[in-house]
Formats: sequence, structure tokens, C-alpha cells
Amino acid sequence: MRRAVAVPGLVVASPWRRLAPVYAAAFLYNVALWVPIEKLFMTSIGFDAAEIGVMAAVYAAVVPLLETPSGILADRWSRRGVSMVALAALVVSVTLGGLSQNVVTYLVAALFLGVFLAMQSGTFDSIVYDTVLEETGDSATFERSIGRLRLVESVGLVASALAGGAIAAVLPLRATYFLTIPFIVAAGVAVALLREPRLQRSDEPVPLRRQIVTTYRTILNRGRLRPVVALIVLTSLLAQVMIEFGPLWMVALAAPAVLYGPHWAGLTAGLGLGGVLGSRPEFRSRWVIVLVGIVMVACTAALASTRAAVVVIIAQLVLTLLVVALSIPLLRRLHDAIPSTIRAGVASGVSTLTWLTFIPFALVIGFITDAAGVHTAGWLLVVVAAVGAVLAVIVLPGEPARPVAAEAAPVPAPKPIVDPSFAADRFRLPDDPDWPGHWADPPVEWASLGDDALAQIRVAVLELPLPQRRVVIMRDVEKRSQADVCSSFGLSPTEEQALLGQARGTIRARMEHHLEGRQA
Amino acid sequence: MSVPELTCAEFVEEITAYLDGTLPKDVAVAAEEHLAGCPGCRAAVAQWRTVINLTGRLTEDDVTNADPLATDRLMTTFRRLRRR
Ligand SMILES: [Zn+2]
Repeated sequence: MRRAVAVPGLVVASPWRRLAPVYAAAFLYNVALWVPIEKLFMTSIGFDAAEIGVMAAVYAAVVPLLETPSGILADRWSRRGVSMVALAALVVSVTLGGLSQNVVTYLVAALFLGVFLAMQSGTFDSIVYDTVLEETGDSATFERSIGRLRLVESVGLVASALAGGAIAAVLPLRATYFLTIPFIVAAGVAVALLREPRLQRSDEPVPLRRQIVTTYRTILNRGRLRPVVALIVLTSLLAQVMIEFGPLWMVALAAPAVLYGPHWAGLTAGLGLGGVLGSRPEFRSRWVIVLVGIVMVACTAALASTRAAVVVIIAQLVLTLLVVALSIPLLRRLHDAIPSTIRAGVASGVSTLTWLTFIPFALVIGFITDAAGVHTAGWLLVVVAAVGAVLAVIVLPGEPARPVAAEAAPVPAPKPIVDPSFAADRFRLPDDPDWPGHWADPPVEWASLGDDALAQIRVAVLELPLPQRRVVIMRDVEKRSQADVCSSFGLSPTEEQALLGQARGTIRARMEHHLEGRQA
Repeated sequence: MSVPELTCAEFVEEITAYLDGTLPKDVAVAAEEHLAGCPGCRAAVAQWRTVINLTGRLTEDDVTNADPLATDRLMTTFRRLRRR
């Protein structure tokens, strides 16, 4: 596997300090004291089963509708800005929810929660990825950064759910909503303190329509991305089934009530611990991935066949842990393959795809469970886990490819390279009495080039301004004709020659600097 | 017929066209004459040829900007260059 060329003078910085506000915000907005009492509160203001179904439909409609557009907005405008708007929607939702005396108000609150979920999805992951890339020059520490984010999120969720239950025991149910608001406001402050990565800023404005088309095309068409996206969808499917349907097994097995608490806590903790596990470098070894695949299939087979409650609980926890762990290196493959300019849009789009796959899958699981019992439904999970295991062995082992966005990273250039290639002071002056315009400091033939000459050339090409870079790549790398270049870019031959001359001249000056230590 | 004389400073301006063989006939003749008597410019041409050869050994994967929006930005930049 080709390694990225090391650029001399590049200081590898640590992204942790810059990510601190991201972690703080993720903890704070996951504090949702109302979650454990929500169903109880809804019943108390008059919800019946049908209306709870309507509320599920509200999410089902709002989230996928808004998710990708808000991701594109984050790419074009500001990820921090979109995050702030999302948190404002969350404040509105929680306030309205707490004030609700009837079903309609609560449905409006649910609508705003949907807006929050849609806008937040993909945004924080994209901030983390681009911050890591901006601070370190590659994506090597992304898995650890995102693993920590998952951990912080689940700690916030679990801690606040436990606290919410305790609060509801002594205060009115509504109090859990109002007490949540200060945490969201604090999350907003943390986001405001965040220094946003600038990688998604394009050199030139791109028309909105073009960006939308590119975003959707990247999600649906890209060859390199398709198995990664498919595997993300499958692993999220399994995780979501465990969260939403996991308790069904407990009911079917008439598990003692005392097991419900640990079961729920274990699932939620699995979301966080899976993030930590998945960020370990072992998750790139083929044998570890094969082993993980086998254990995943074994867990689903246990769900389909066993009737021992403890075995079912362990199978569910291990399965959740493993699919979340797999999602971490997968997320890196996804982000490595997409440029910063469309990052949040594509990440949100993949999340929408997951959601759109989950809805029919959930209906099928529900139907099979009704008709033939939860164990039969378990065989469907075996199929999903087996397909996922095979895909994982194909997609995950080995070093990830170079991030496509990395070349746009603000790598400190060794020095601005001269333009033109030979500085004016290397010639005698035009009024020189002896030899006007002749060399004062002539170039010399390069005797030996050394092993790293090609690497130097590559860096020089990558650092060229885009028009020069594209022209020199077409002419000298792809060895196409001048006529081809002119017609591809709508250039005159003179313009083509000027760009090609500047490009080759810049590369030459860099080589001269490299080989002779000559200051440009 | 008089052949225009080239200085070294003028010659290096024309290296791209010289190597591409797109110089006007009279300038091409002058360039060859200049090169014949100028080791400095011969070294300059040799350096450019080395650069072109090395660049030709890069693969498309080495240098392709996988950013799908890049082409679009590029067209905008070219259009702006032309307007000037
Ligand atoms: Zn000369």
C-alpha cells in the first residue's frame, strides 16, 4: 500500500484540544432527563397507541426529508451554524414537550425533535473528521476521536436516563423536560467556542444544484463507496433492531423483571464501549474481522434458537457492541473516500439510507414476530449478520486509503515556489556591457536524482494551483495532446502553453531546491 | 534573411514551446543556434526534460484530485482567467 509522502517541516499536532468543545457539546446535548418517563408522560396527557404511531410517523417523515438537505447546508454555510440551529430546535422541542397539555402540542414538540435529529446527524462526525485532518494532515487518529465521541454520547445518555428516573420519583414528570434545557444551552455555548474546520470551503463557489447532484451521486453511485455504504446500512440495521426490538425477546421469554434494567443499561453502554473497541488498530487485521463476523453470526443464531434469557441478553449485548465497533473503521472508510466539500451532506445521506432501510425491515420483523414468533424473526437477523460479516472481511482489512480531502489540507508549504522558474537575478541585466541577458548563475545538469525524486515531483504537482495541476497532469502524466487539453478546458493554445510552462517551471524550481539546496 | 538573436532570459521563456515544437520557424532556428553555443541553456533544457520524464512516471492515482467538485471549480477559474 502506498504511503502518503511526508512533507518536511510538517508538525504533527494533536487534535484533542481542538475537539474538546465537540466532546463537551456531545455530552451535554445527549443529556435527556425526560427519556425514561416519556411514554408515561405521553399517556398522562392523553396519548393512545394510535397516536403514538402518528408520532413515530412524524419522525419517519421529518428526519429523512431534512437530513441530507441540512447536511448540504452545513457544507455550504457552516457546520457550527447548522449545529446551533439544531440545538435551538431541541430547546423549542423540550420546552414545548414540557408545557404540553395535549397530544397536538406534543406532536409539534416531536416535530422539532425530528428537526434537531436531522440537522445534527452527520454534522458532528464531519466536524471531527475535518478537524483531525486539519490538525494532523491525515485521518489516522479519526477512529480514536470518533470512538471517544460515541463514548461521551452514550455516557451522557445513560447517566441522564438514570438521573431522569430518580428525578421523576420526587418531582412532577414535566420537571425532567425543564431541567434538561440548561444542558442544551450549555451545549450551545460549547459549540459556539468551537473553531470550525475550513476544509469544506471551496476555492470557488459551486452552484447549489451542482452540489446537490454531486452529493446524491456520491452516495448512490460511487463504486469504491458502495460496499462501505452497504455495510454501514447493515450494521446500523442490526444495532437499531437490538435497541428497538431487543426487549421483545425479553417479553417472549418471560424474562424476570429484574433483568430489564441491566439489559437496557448494557445495550446503551454497548453503544459507547463499541466505539472504543472499534477504534483499536486490531480492527484492521483480517483475522480479527473474520472472528468478529463469526461471533456476530453466532449471536444472531443464538437469538433465533435459544430460550435461555441470560444467553439471549448476552447475545444481544455482544452483537450491539460488535456492530458499533465495526461502524467506527467503516465511518473512516466512508469519510476517507469523500471530499470535505460534500462531507456532511454525504454522511447525512448515508444516515437517511439507513433509516429508509430500517422502516421496511422493522415492518417485516414485526410481521414475522406476530405471525411466527420472535425466534423465527431471529433467522432474518442471521441472514443480515452473515451478509455483513462477508462484506466486512472484504471491506475492512488493511490500511485505509489516503483521504481524498488530504491534499486540500493546509500543509505548510516548504516555501512559496518562484514564478517564473528561473529568478530574474540569475541573469545579467539587459544593459550588461559584456553579455546582456545571459546567465549570471547558470543551471547545472543534475547528476543523480536519488530515490525520493519522484516523491518530490508528486508533492510539487499536488501543490500546484488547480488549473496548472490539471493541465500538467493531462499533458505529462496522462500524456494527452495539447489539442485534447485545449478542448477539455476550453483553452487557447497560448493559454495552455502558459499554464503548462508555469507548472513545469514550478516543479523544476522545487527539484532544484531539493537537489541543490538552492533557495528559490 | 536575418535570424533574431535570443538572450538566455528570452530563451528560457520559450522552453515549453521549444520542447513542444510549437515555436514559429524563425524563433525555432534562433533557439537551436542559441543552444549550440550556450551550455547554461542546454542544462536548463535537460532539467526540464528530467522534470517531464519524472512527472511521466507518476500514475494517475498519485496525482488525481478525487474531488468531484474540482472540475467544476476549475471551469469557473478558467472562465475567469479568460475574462481578464
Ligand atoms: Zn543561454
